[in-house]
Amino acid sequence: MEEAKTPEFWLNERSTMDQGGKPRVQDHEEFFRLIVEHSADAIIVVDRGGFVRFLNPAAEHLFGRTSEQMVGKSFGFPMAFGMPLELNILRPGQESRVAEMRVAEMRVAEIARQNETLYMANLRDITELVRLREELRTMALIDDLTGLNNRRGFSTLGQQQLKLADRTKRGMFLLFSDLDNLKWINDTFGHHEGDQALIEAATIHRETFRQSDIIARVGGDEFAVLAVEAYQDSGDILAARLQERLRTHNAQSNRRYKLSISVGLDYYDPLSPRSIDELLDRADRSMYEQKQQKKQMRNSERGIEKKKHGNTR
Amino acid sequence: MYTFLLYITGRRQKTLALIETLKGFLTERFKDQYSLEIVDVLEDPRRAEEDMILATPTLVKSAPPPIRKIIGDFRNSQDLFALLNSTDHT
Repeated sequence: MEEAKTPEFWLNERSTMDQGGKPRVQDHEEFFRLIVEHSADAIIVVDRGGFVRFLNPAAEHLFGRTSEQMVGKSFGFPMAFGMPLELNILRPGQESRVAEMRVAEMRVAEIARQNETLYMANLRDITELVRLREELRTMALIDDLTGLNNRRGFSTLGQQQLKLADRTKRGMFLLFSDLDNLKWINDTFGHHEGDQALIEAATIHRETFRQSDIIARVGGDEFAVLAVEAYQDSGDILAARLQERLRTHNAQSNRRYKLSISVGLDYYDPLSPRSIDELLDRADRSMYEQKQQKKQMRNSERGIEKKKHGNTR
Repeated sequence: MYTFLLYITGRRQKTLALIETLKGFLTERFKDQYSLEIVDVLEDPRRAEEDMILATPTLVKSAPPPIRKIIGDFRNSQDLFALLNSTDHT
């Protein structure tokens, strides 16, 4: 077996002279060319104008274009100094349609060469990794039953939204809602029907709010909505819209029971920031108050009914 | 008047945040003397192809000349404006 060579050996090897006493430069060029050509990472070199000077076979494969098609053409100035950055790569398709989208992680290095500075972008195809990451994210953040975000998903997306609201100085509403009488539905019609009621409640929320709003099932029978870019006086309108949608849903003739949803609201004012948990807590308390009011109203209605029956007897 | 085009892929939270950041930089720098058009390549792939956009996010300054194209990270406004103002681009 051949003995392992020391670093000194390879350093000397690099400067080995040929028979004519000249360094074997061509060998070294060939060696480095082979490394670049066989690199699994895409390498693309551009000048300060963002025009392509060189790309290796992995870059040709990643961009779906040949060197002939890209060298001398404008790629753009790659800006990702320090931190690696995720890019979406657009591969050409037939009839100018983007056939495939890949995701690559880009790092950029500056190369000072003779009288010019070039920029080398190293791109690693992470499409599969991103797909798996998305799958895991979805599994961890989505509620299986309703397909809405779960509590963790709501918290994660909500926090991002709060930061955005702080920057744009636009307020938001957090609407906390509770599907009333879920226990009664489960006890009377079985758990399958209870699940069905939750799915219906989720659909009502989805149909009421915008796609850009963050909707979640945050507990057994509890839902939360972060209605983005809402005005401070639009809270009641949002709650009324939900109740209106619920009325339409309940008006379906084949229903065995009517769904009822209690709602609480809290406004997020970027000028006095609060955490997503504080918002949830305050909206939850507001909902509880509404629930109590509903109960009191029902009880007093029953009292009036009893009195009426008592008087007629 | 400065004219910018931002090519993006979809409108996820991260992209929306990038748009907001960029708008903030541009407004601070150019006040109301700029326009920013957002092109989602998923909605308009033909345009991306015609404009030779190979990756997103890409920011293009199309006016005043010269045209400048930057790919990647625009979170550092100093670097961004240094590139937009550099004379090396053609």
